[in-house]
Amino acid sequence: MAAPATQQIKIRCNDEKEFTVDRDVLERSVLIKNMLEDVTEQQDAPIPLPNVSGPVMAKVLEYCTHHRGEPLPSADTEQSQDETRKRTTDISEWDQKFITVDQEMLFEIILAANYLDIKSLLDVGCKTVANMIKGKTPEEIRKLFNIVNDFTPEEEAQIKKENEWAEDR
Amino acid sequence: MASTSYWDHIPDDLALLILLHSSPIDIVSLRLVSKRFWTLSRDFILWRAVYKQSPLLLPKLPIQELLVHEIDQLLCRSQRFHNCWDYPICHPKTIHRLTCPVTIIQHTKIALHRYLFLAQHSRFWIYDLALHSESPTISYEDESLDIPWGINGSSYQCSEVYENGSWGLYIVRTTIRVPEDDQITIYRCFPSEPDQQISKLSLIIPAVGPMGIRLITLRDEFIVYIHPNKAGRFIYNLRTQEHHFIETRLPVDSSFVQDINAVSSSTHIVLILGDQDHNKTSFEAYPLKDLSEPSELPLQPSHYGNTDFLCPPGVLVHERSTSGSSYPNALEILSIGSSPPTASLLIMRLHLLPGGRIIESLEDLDISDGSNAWQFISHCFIHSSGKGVSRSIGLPVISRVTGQPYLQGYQIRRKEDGRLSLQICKFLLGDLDYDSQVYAFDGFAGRICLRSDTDILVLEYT
Repeated sequence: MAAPATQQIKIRCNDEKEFTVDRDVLERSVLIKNMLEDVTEQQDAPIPLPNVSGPVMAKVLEYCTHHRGEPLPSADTEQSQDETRKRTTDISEWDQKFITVDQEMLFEIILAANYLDIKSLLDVGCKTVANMIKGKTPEEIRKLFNIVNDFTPEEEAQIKKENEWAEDR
Repeated sequence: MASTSYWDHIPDDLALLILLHSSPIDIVSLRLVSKRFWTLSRDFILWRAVYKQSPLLLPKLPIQELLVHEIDQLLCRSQRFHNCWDYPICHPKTIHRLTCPVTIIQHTKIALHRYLFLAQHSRFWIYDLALHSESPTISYEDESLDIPWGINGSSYQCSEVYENGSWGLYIVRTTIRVPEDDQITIYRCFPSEPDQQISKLSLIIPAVGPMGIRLITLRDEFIVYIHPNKAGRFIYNLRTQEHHFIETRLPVDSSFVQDINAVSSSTHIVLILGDQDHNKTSFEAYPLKDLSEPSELPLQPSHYGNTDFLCPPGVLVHERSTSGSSYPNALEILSIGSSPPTASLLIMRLHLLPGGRIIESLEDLDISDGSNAWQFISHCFIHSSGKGVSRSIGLPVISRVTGQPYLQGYQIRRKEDGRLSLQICKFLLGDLDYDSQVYAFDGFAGRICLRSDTDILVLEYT
C-alpha cells in the first residue's frame, strides 16, 4: 500500500538469467512477498531464486502479470481451501491458454509455483495434470507420462481385485 | 529422457496435491499405474479429502431387478463330492426374481436355509431363497445410518450366530464418518423368526479413513479390529461385549493393515501378516481364554514369530482341525499364490505349544493344471465383468460335513455364441489331487456368482 506501485525488483534465476519486475507483480509470489517485507531498505542486489530457471520464470511472470491486482487468496482457514478445491477442474480461458505447454514445462511450472508459493498458479497446474489423467486407463496414464509399470503380475492382480467394484459398473 | 517421467521430479506432497484434484474414479485407476501411485493413492490424507468431495461415490449398480439362479447340480454337496462330475450340463434349478436396488450382496447359509443378503444405504434385506418369494424375509431400515457412502465407506459383513438353539445372523456394518469417529454397528437377527426384533449394538471407533482399517469377524464371536494408530488395535468379544486391547507385535502400519488376516482355532486367535519387503510372514496368537474375561491391561500375544517365507498377498487362512495329530490345536493356514500359468498352494502349519513354543512346517504344492486359464486369487466370489469374461477364483474351503479341506476354482467364460460356460476345478487337499470339468449353461448373462462352501449362486441384473 505504502510501497510505490512502480518499484522495480530484480531477481536472478538459477541459470543466471535476471528479470526486473514491478513489485506488485512479484508479490503474487508469497515467498518473494515475505522476502521483500523482511528487507526494509532498498536493495540493488537481485533476489536469488535457486530453484527456478529462466524460461520457467518467464512463464511464471507472464501469469503474474496477467493476474496482477487480483486479491491474493487468503490463507486463513482450511475450510476455505477445501472449498476452492472442491471438484473444480475447470480453468479460466486465459489460464487454459497459458498452461497449454509441453509436459516438461507444465511440471516445471508446478514445481516453481510450489516453491514460489503462488497458490492460484499451483492450482491451475495441478488441475491441468488432473485433467490429463481424467478418464484414462492405467495403461494410458503410464503411456502419457512415461511411467514404468513396476508391479509384479501378482501385485497387479491383487490391486485389480481391490479395484473390481469400480471397474465393473 | 525417454526412460524417465516428469513425475519423478515431483515430490510426494506435491503429487498428492495433484491427485487431490482428481476424481475418486481416476484415483482408482492411478492405483494400478505404478507402486508409487499405489502408495500415494492409499495415503490417508488424500482419501480423507476425496471423501469430503464426493461422499456419494459408491459402486452403484443401475439395476432394479435381480434374478438369482441357483445351480443345484453344481452344489457339490460333500456327500457326493466324488461324483459331482457326473453333471456335464447344468440347468439352473431355480430362478428367483427379486425387485430391489442393490449395492452389496452376500450369500449366507444358515443351517439348511440359504439366504441372500442385500444392502443399500441404510437398508438391508434378507431373502430366504427356499421361500421363492419376492418379498424379503427380513427388511430393516436404520435411518441413523443413512450416511452418504464413499469408497469402502461402509461395508457389511455377515456371520452366523448360534444362540439358544436357533440360528441367526450377525450383520456387522462399518461406517466411515469423516471427520467424526467411525462406527461399527452390529445387528443381530434371526431370519427364521422374522417377528423377533433385530437388536443393534453400536461401537464408536477412532476415525481412521477408508484405507487404514481392517476388520475381521471370527467364530461369530470376535471382531478383530486393527488400524495403524496404536489406539485402534483390539479384539472385540461380541458375546461379552468387551474390548480387549492387544499389544500386537506385528509391524502394523497403514500400508500393511489391509494385508492382515486372522484365523482362530479352538484355543487361539492368530493374526497373520505377510511382509513383502522382507519376504516373510509374521504371526502372533492370543489365547481365547484371555478373551473371555475383561482385562485392564493390554493383552500380550502368547506366541509370536516370523517365518522365512512369504504367504502371497491375499492370503486366506483357515483352521484345520488336526485331531489325531500329535500336536492338538494346530492351525493349518492355506494360501494360494499365482503367477499364471502356474499356481501354487502354500500350507503352513502352526503348532502352538504351551510356554510360547511354536513348531511350524510348510508345504509348497504346485497346483497348476497346465493351462493358463486359471488364475487363483483368494476371493470369495466370482465377479464377472460386464464385458463377458469373468475371473476365476480359488478359495480354500473346509467342508463342513467331512471336515476335509478342498479348493475350488471357478471360471465363467462367455463363448462366441454368447452362451456362458462355467468351469469348476476342485483340489482335494487331503489327497493332493485335483480334477476339473467344464459345464455349459444355457446362456444367461450372469453378472455375479456367489458361493458358500457348497453352493453356487449366479445373479443376473435386468
